[in-house]
Amino acid sequence: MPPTLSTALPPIAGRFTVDPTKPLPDAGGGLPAFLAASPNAADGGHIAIAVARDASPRLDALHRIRDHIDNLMTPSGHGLGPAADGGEAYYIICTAPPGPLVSAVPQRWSEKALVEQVLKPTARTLLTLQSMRLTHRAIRPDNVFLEAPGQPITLGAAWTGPPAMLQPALFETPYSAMCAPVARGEGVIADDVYALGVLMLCLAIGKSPCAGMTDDEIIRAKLEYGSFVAVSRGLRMPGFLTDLLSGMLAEDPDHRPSPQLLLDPNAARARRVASSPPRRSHDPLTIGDMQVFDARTLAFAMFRSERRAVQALRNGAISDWLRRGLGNAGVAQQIEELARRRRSETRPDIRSDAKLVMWAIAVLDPRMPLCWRGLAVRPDGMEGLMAVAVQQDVRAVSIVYEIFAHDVLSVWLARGADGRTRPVPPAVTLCQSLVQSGLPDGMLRAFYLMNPLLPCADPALADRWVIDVPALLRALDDLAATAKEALINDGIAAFIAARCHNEWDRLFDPLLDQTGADLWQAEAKTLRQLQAIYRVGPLPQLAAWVVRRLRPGVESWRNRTTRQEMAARLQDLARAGDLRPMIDLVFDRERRQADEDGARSAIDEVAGIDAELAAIADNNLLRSRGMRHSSTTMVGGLGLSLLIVHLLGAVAP
Amino acid sequence: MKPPTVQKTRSGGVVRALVCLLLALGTGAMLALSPDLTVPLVVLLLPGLVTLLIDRSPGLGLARAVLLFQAAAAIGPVQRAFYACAGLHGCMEQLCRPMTVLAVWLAAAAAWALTELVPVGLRVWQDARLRTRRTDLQARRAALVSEWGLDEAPAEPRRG
Repeated sequence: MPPTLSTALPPIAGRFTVDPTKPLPDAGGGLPAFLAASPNAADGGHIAIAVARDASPRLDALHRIRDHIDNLMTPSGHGLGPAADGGEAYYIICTAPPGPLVSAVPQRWSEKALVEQVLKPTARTLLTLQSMRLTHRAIRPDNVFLEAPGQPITLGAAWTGPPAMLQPALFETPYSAMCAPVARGEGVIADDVYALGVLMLCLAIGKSPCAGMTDDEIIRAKLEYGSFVAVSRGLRMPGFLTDLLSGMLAEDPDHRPSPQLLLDPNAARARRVASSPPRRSHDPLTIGDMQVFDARTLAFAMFRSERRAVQALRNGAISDWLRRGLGNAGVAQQIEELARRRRSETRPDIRSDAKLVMWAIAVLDPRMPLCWRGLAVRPDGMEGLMAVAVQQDVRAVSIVYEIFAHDVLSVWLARGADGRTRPVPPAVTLCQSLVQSGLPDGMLRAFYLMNPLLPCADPALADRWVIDVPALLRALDDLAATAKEALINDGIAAFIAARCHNEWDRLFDPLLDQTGADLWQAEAKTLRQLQAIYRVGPLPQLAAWVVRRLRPGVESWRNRTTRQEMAARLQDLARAGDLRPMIDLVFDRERRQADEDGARSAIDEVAGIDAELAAIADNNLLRSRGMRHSSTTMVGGLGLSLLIVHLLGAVAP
Repeated sequence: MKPPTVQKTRSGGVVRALVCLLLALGTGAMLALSPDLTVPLVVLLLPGLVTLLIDRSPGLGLARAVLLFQAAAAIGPVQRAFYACAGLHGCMEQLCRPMTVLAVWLAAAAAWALTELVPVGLRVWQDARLRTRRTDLQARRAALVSEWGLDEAPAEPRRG
């Protein structure tokens, strides 16, 4: 039986309701999409694309795009909705696709159709995005729609996950394609021009030019021969298209025509930027199972076979090949210098070899992404990588941790592998400080900070989409009905600390430091603070759980009557669902002080009673002796009294 | 209350000896001055005088009580005999009548009996009072222990 939610979800953006029973295949560009209904007819057709739990939506794009953009499935809102399994899901609402996918209509597009229906409308859309400092990064045949023959194409949604997450290697530059899919970063508009060029090529020939090739083969071919040559080998295309696409698929982003220039295809075709072809060696160098003939492919081979690369770097095979085979003495000298520094390290650590490979790749091709232990990542793609790493990939967690904990990324950026010094993104700096702070949950906190729309990853909340503290409190209220022990574990504590305002962050640090006996205390106080700060309504089940949780606190009071009254009062307060008076009641300092004082007085009084009882027992014998003495005195006094009376009687007449 | 010390016992003996000495001197003086009254008086007070010799209580309390009771009982007969009798024989007849002697000696017995019975009565009364006090204290202690969750075990009382 699917879980049911305790509260009805409000419409997304105030008007969209999602019907998870009506899936729309292909509409989401690879992600599940459903029909989104709006009571406002002027809104037109909309769909809701479900966000994956480990793929963070592009929040910047969702914030910056406020108006409809032609020929683009424009985002109109985002929020929680019902999932097909009865739980919660997060949806991005977009305008509905106007028709089927272009890939669903297998045909060869004419040169004129490509220019008028594909190039120009897409260039206009990219120009609009560029003006917003945004990129699309999801231009591919299965995410481009065609309303009707002769009509311009419409770009699909690209906001539901990290940029270029679902892009095949064919539609990405080799430097982006070799990155982890979630770590390709925002990129630049030239990357969209590149993908548009590949799309036009696919439409022109009516099929994929690299069908049957693996991603590694495509990347290697692009690096070895250049992108345009790699994807157009053996194809016969009109000269106009060849010139245009060769510019759009240029290796250097600066050499590709801008969207503005693409609006005038003839001008874009005429734009030629001189670039020298890469040097090739007659004799290949073998790294791992790859034979390489040029420096770029060598960098890729070193990325793929790090261990072999280290051997080749340290024994000088690479520098020798660069100098003799490739004739590139300058690069060879830099590589030799790196290897010499590595050999001369007096106290090498486990990261020395990884650093050597990282810098060697950067020297061989400065456009390469950061390559660390077989993982390539763009600096602005760290949040996506973090999301996958924390939730799925244990190996990636250790790599990401290493990158943050040992300043790998910031050093790589700051030193400028290509000679240029690039600023470290603020998010990277923040995460570095969190991971380096030594907190046991630093990684989790960094994950939640970098991915504000992703839900709490705690298994107990798997059927919910908890992205903020009020939602967490409501979810905890439902969980509290069956919870026995602590509700706030390390993961949830990290979520709270990350999703709270920084000003309040310190309030929750004690929670993270508490363990064992004092955890219940910190937990209860934290929940009270959160309910008060976020003005969450009554939480009766959570309050009832807090009553059970506060039992040690109630028991710690010394006075029995106070404890009994407190327990009864807590039960009454729990029904109202307000945690603050409950916590204040148990942790009232003045009453606690009075209780302690009363206990001390009672101890003193009991000690006095014990002393008196002991004195009673001790003085039993002595008392009898004293009593005899006093009784003789009394009898003597009585006798004296009688004597005086008789004397007076005798003397008196 | 501290037990009597050895020093106190010695001083008590000296006092007793001093009292006996003074009593002997007084009796001797009275025998010399008025032997007809002194002899029957000695007979009347004989239990008190004997008690004075054998009393070991601190401050000669018992002897004091007996002598005072006897003195009180003997005042009337001695006053009457003082003006009525003449000579040892006459005073002996008047003062040492059996009923007179019996009354004075019964007064001595009453003093002794009181000295023995009053401590018992006092003890009974004190015990009842202390038992009530102990019960009250124990009840108060139990209430405090229960109310404040104190250690249940009371302090072990020392037995004397």
